Formats: sequence, structure tokens, C-alpha cells
Amino acid sequence: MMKGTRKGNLITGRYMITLTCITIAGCFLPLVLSSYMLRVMNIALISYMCVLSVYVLLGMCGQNSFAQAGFWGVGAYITANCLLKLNLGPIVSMIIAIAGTALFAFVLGFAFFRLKQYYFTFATIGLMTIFNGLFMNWKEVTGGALGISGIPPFAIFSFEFSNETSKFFLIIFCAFVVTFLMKILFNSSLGRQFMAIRDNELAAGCMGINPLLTKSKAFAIGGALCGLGGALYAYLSGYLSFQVFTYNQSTMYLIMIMLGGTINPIGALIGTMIISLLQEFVRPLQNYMQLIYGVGIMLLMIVQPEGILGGIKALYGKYNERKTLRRSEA
Amino acid sequence: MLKIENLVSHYKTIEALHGISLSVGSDEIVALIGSNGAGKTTLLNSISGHVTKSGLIEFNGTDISNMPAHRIARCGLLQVPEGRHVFPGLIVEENLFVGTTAITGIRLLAGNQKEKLDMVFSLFPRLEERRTQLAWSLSGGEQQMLAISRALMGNPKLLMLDEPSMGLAPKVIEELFGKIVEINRLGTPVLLVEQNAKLALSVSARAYILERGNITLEGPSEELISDERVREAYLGKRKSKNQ
Repeated sequence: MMKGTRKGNLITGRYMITLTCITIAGCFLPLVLSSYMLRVMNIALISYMCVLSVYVLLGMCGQNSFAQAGFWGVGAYITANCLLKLNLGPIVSMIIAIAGTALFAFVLGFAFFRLKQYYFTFATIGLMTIFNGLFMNWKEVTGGALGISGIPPFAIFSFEFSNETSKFFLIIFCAFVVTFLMKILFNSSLGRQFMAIRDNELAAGCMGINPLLTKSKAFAIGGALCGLGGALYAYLSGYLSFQVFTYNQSTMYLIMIMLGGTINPIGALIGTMIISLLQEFVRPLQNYMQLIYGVGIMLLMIVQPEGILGGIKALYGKYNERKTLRRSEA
Repeated sequence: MLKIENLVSHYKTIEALHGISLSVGSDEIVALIGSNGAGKTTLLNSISGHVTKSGLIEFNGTDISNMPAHRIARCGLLQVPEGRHVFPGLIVEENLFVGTTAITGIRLLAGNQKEKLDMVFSLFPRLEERRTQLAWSLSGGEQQMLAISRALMGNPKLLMLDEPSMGLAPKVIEELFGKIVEINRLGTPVLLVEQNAKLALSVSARAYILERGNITLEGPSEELISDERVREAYLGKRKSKNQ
């Protein structure tokens, strides 16, 4: 592909093949990984869904949010409450968590997107703080500092996803579906509207796009992804504590997508996997982790501002250029 | 088509336009001429709903003075903003598809969209060659063509062009203005804001001259082009003193 070009909607085929290959390869992981590493993998895949929400907001719509871990928490607490207090089925609870979080984000979006760009980002930092305060203190719903325990695993009819491997297959299936939906969103009219707003909000308004409504839709889609992540997290761990859904986690999502690249969901996947595995393998260096992130991010911004995927694409472009050059010389 | 009466626009507390009245007929090109800071862009942005204002703006018989920008666009009043606002991260084709958003009612069917695309490509064949290219990689002239085409995709009932000639080579400008006349001939009225007075007067039927937020002169372009005051101020012809 030449520099500065992109095949429009035609690329779906190649994307699907890549996605299917990654998923099939992923399905063999339970054979090689210990159950501890599988748990790490599960949490990484859940993070991936939250990172996808950042991809929709930042990568497609150009809006930076620090509240995604909060929405993740909202999804998780909705699931727990539906299961334990309302005695609903696991599938229904999950759907309510997704829809509820999306609706919640949509309404909040209408208020928050009256602020533009940086002001919106600052407002979401405030939102995250409020979320955290709520999770910690609203005893009736979140269990306060004690958290909620005893959440049953996900089940379809009588089949329970109770061991680590079956949970892994559930989560990887959800990740596959969500990633596929991302591509549909990217090629849809709504996706183009998101990107139009990212590129030039004034011109988007001139073309009849309602910026407030469209950005709220992006926020809602992000909310739905976080809601799904939250529901899966509740089923995975069986125990929810306010200490998980923190501002630090939100920043981590941003770091993950910056590392992988905001071009497409595969970038989000690469970033999430690298950071999640890094956290495991350099556990002895835990005390220096923040320093490593800090310096790493700075280096990344200098050397490869478009992330790892951006770097790969640039290399591929150069390789192609050289190939055509050689062909024309011959 | 478009009727404006006693329009007053503000930026915070500063009054930028002091009571403008203007009209555009159903099939004409109307030029709006003025020097830097006269308020041309402010006037267009006021019409399209991007600047706070008071006064009456009537479009196709409906009062649009209190509508938000995106609803005005959906009425068919499309603005091509100053300085080529294309979407750099989208390819040419996607840029054009974004343009169809402005059409209200039932969503465009795929076939209908293709028809519009063909229409635009026949007008600007250069864009067809570049259809899979990202918009940032286009030249200045091509970006301007894309911005205009994108507006055309939205079925404009009135097209407002803000300085289409800005920063382009004379040859490209000539080609572009030819296309603007052609768009008009196909049945779309155009409100053209231009600093290049000579060019604007040569393609338009009528013109308004804007100075410091007021309209000081108006009339058929042919008359204005030979008007002494216009020649002196905008066409660069000095009145010789010992005439």
C-alpha cells in the first residue's frame, strides 16, 4: 500500500482473517499456560475490552477520557447487584450491565461534552474521583470498603463457567465478537461521523453532524464495552473491591493504547498484552514499575508516537516502497 | 431563498456586525466582498449558526436564526468553511460519505449514494483518481475541491463558500471558479465570500460590499465592477488626480 492511501471498506476481509487467526491461536493457550498465567490472560483480555473503549473514544472520536475504569466498575457492580439482590440470571445480568453502563455513559456524555477537548478530559478526572468515592462509600450497592463477595460464575442453562479454562473461552469469545463489531463500527456511517469529529469538529458541524449527540454516542459505546468488561470481571473474580476500579487503572488503559497504537483494535490488543505481561514478568521490580512506565512512555512519544502498530505499518510501507523501487530499476 | 434582516453578531461583548440585510435568490451567485477584518467570515458563520447573533435569518421560508449549526446544515444550507477543512484522517471517499449526513429523512440508500458520488466525480475527475487516498496527502487545490464536493454530497439548496481561492495558485483558482459557475448552472445558488474582488465580481450576478461590519454598497456585479469607489478600494486602480 502506498503512503497516504488506505483501502476503504474493502479491508474487512484481511482484518477478519487476522482476527480469526489470533483468536484460534489464543484458543490453544490453555494447553500451554499454567492456571495462574491463564488468570493473568483473562484479566488482560478484560482490560483489552476497556482499552477498546478508549480506542473508540480517543482513536476514533478524538476524546480523551480518564473515567473508563469507573465505567468498568459500574458494569461490575451492576452485574453483582442484579445477580445477588435481584436474583436475575447471569445472561440477563450481563445484558443489563452492558445496557445500563451504556445508558449511564450516554447521559453523562450529554453533560460532559458541553466542555471541549482538554476541559472534557479534566472533567472526566473529576468524574473518576467521584466514581471511586461512590464505590468506596455507598455500602448498600457496592458493599463499601468490604466489597461484594460470593458472585456466582457465568452460566448458560446448566453449564457453569466455573474453572479458569472455561472462563478463558468465554472471555476470548466476547473479545472476538467485540473486536469484530469494532470493524463494523469503523466502516459504518456512525464511525465516519466519529472520525470526522476527531479530525475537524467545525467542518463536521457544517456537514450536519450534531457534535454533542455524536460524541455522547461514542461515550455510550465506550460505556457498553466497559460494562461488558465489568460484567466479565465480576464473573471471573467472584469478588469486587473498590480498590480495583481506580484512576491509576484508567491511566493504564491510556498507556496501553498509546503503546499499541490508536490505528485499529489490533493495536489495542498488542498494547494490552505487552503491559499486562510486563506487569507479571517484572514483578521483582515492582517498586520501580511507575518509573519504568514514566520513562517508557516518554521514550515512546519521542521514538514512535504512533505506537508499535504505527511503527510496523511504517516499516511495511518502507519495505513496499523499496520493492517497487527495485522493480522499476530492473 | 435566503433572506437576512438586520443581523447583529457578537463575539462575547464585541459587536462584529452592525445590522446586515442581505438576500440570495434561487439560482444566482451572490458575492460578498470586503477586506481583511470586514466581517465576511463572521457573517457566514452567523448564518450557519456558529456565532451568537440577533436578527432575522429566513431560509426557504423557515426561520433558522435560532437553530443549532447541525440543524441548519440539515435544512440544506451548507457552508464550506474557510481554509479547506477536510478530514485529514479519512480517505477521499469517506470524506464524501460524511457529506451525506446532512440529508434529512430516510437514510440514503447505497445506490443513491453511488449516484451522488458519480455526480461529484464527473465534476471533479481528479478526486476520482484519488479516491483511496487519505485527505491530508492531497494538494491544496484538491483539498478545496474535496471540501466543496463534500458539501455537494449533502444536496445543498444553497452553498456558502468561504474564500475558496485562499492560498491557491492562479491557475488552480481559475479552474475552481469555472467549477463553481458550473455547480451554479446545475441549479444550486451560491453565496461566495471572496477577497479577490475582481474574480468574485466576474462570476457573480450580484454583489455586496462589506466594510467594518456594515454593508456599504450593493448591486449587480457588472455595475459594481465599473463603480469608481469599488475600483479604487478593491480592484487596485487608482483614480488619477489630474483627470
